[in-house]
Amino acid sequence: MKALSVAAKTVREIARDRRTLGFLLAFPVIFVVVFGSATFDTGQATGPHIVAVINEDEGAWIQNNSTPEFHRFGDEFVGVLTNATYENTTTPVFRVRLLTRGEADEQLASRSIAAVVTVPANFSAGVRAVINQTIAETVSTAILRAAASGNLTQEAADAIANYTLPEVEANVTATVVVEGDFTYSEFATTQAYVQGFVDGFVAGVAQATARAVLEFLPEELRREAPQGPFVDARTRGVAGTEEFKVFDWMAPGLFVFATLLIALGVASAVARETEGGNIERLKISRMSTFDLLFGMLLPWTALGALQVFLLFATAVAMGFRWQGGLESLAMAVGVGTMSATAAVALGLLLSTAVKTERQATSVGPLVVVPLAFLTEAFFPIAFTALVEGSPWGLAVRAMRGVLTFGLPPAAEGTHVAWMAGQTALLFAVATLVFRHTRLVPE
Amino acid sequence: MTPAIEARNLTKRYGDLVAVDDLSFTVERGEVWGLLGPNGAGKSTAIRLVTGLTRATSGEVLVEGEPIRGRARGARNLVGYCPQEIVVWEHLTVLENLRFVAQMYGLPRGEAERRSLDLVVGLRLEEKAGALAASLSGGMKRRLNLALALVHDPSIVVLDEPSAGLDPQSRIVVHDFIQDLGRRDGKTVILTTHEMDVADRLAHRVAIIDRGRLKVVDAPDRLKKTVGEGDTVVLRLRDPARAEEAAGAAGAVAGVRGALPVSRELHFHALDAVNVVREVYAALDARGIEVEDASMRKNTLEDVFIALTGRALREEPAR
Repeated sequence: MKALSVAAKTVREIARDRRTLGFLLAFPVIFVVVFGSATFDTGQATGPHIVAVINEDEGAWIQNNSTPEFHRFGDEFVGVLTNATYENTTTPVFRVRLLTRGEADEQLASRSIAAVVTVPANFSAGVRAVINQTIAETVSTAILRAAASGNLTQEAADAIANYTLPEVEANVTATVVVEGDFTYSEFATTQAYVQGFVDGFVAGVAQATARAVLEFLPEELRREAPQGPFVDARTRGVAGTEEFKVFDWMAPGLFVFATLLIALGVASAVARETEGGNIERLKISRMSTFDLLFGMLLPWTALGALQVFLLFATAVAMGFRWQGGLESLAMAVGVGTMSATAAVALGLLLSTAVKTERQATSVGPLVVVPLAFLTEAFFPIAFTALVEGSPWGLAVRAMRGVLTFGLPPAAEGTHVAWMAGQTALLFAVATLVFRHTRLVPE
Repeated sequence: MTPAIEARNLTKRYGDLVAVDDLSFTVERGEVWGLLGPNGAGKSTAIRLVTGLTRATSGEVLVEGEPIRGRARGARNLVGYCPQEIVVWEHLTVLENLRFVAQMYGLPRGEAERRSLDLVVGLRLEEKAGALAASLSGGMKRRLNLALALVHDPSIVVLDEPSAGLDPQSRIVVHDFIQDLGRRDGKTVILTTHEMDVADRLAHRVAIIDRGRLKVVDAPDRLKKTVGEGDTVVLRLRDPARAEEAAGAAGAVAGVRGALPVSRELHFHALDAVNVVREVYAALDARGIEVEDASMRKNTLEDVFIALTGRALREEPAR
């Protein structure tokens, strides 16, 4: 109840503080309008992105129904890149050049190509790991569900007894590297496409594997097997026949950037209340730490959700080509809300590091702005760990996945799960530090 | 009956600085208890120790017999605290401020509303009840500041310099209200002030604190009598460096008691002040000590403070 009173009071304060409200809502809208109007690229007709591919894949043996088969998935992936076309057109997405390392570097330097895509030596091994894991998951889930529902016949049980699940390999990571010039806008577009095709290829292999496994399962187990979303790796949809613009890549980043600004609002508001003695006044009341922090969290995260809605509408009005349906929008709002939660935690931490509102407004941007750059909101970052080391970087990737590349929300599950973990950790730390520095007697 | 507040050997250190030094006192229920001292004497620190905002380095505080440390959350309703600074929520209206703080003390919605309206009327803020706190005058904000300390109807009210910076009209409203808290509502009131007239007028008992140590606690009239019968004479000297010499000369005059150099002034007490002053003037004149200004008044709590510390209340304390 007290938390709700704090929430109601915070809503009133935010609504009446036009400066903060303008900063958190109008400023990001202006940002989106400016970036939406900017001409990062030619903006002309559809054109293939020229990429050099260095295929170092060494292939891998795969057990197909007790028969070993040698596969070169790297070749298949290069084939996917070569044959991919824009949706409803015959225009290829890429023009692939198979080059040596030296040739690729030379052409990259002269901007004859947009990017160099290196397929690693263990690419097939990585795909084999995906296949084996898919087989194990599909069969195990089907058996467990059938057993739970009592549909496991003797015939099916016998079939299971004679079936040996493939061994799931641990610690296999095949990384497709996309290299290019970060200052070249064409690279931003190209690397985004390549990343999307890698995701699509892996999802397609997993789906094909699951379908193949189902053919060998008895009827009752087939009914219980999980049905994943359909992903066509060869012609994965990229809506529209116009050129993919940098703005399409940037827009989700701007949404997350806006939610990150909430940290500044929270830091200023809390610093103001600390400096003015309001927190101290509440400290001797019956209000608990939970009441204060949960009460603050509710309105600020609601503001985060509102920001995403507002900026999404603005971005669409400015020409953002949104992929996916309402499901993707709902996920984006959810991710935005979580990003705002993390921003509230950051704001609380910032407020404990300063003594006055003035300090909060001057120190806050020194933390928030570099952090925003590291989220990959504005340009690609070479080191994934930097991007995925913060909940906002993960938010950008998840939002970009569903809104820009049209991936199903489930495909971004890992990013969202990591983000939830990081947000929870950050909030726990912020709560402890805030309580220790602001809510206990001196 | 268990006292409202009992402080036992309270000490608070900040590094080498001893803000409160072995402070012990008792405040009875229904009493208006004034804590008087110059700026920096340790009044606010003592108050913060009593409210539980600051932890004592040693010693303890009992609120209605219970130690303040480890008090149950529900027991927090016993004490209301009005800080020296104006602490209000600028973007909330007067009534919203009051309702919000009432809810933070766990008052039911109806009770919070009733208490808020009562205080708005009692502190003459009716016309501004719906106005944002940011739009109030300084005096009105101070009244709201006081109301926020009372909205949960505490039995003990702690007021830190409640009339500092008030305009004359607000001052009257606040002082009347504080008197009513004690007389009419039977609340225990602890107030700190560096204004002797405020303590003299409002408090049943006054404690004088200096450099973190409690000097004396008693009723204002009894304290003033300790200085001596008669009037207090204050002579302002042209040459402050000769204040000590002037005190010696005045002290030798018959009828002069308690002659003290205080800053650039000479203070003394006398029963037949008009005639005694004439003789003191003559004694000073004989030594070539010039008097710039002279005044005569009844004894005040400031005279008590001067008698106890040798300094005026308005002087900065020597640390």
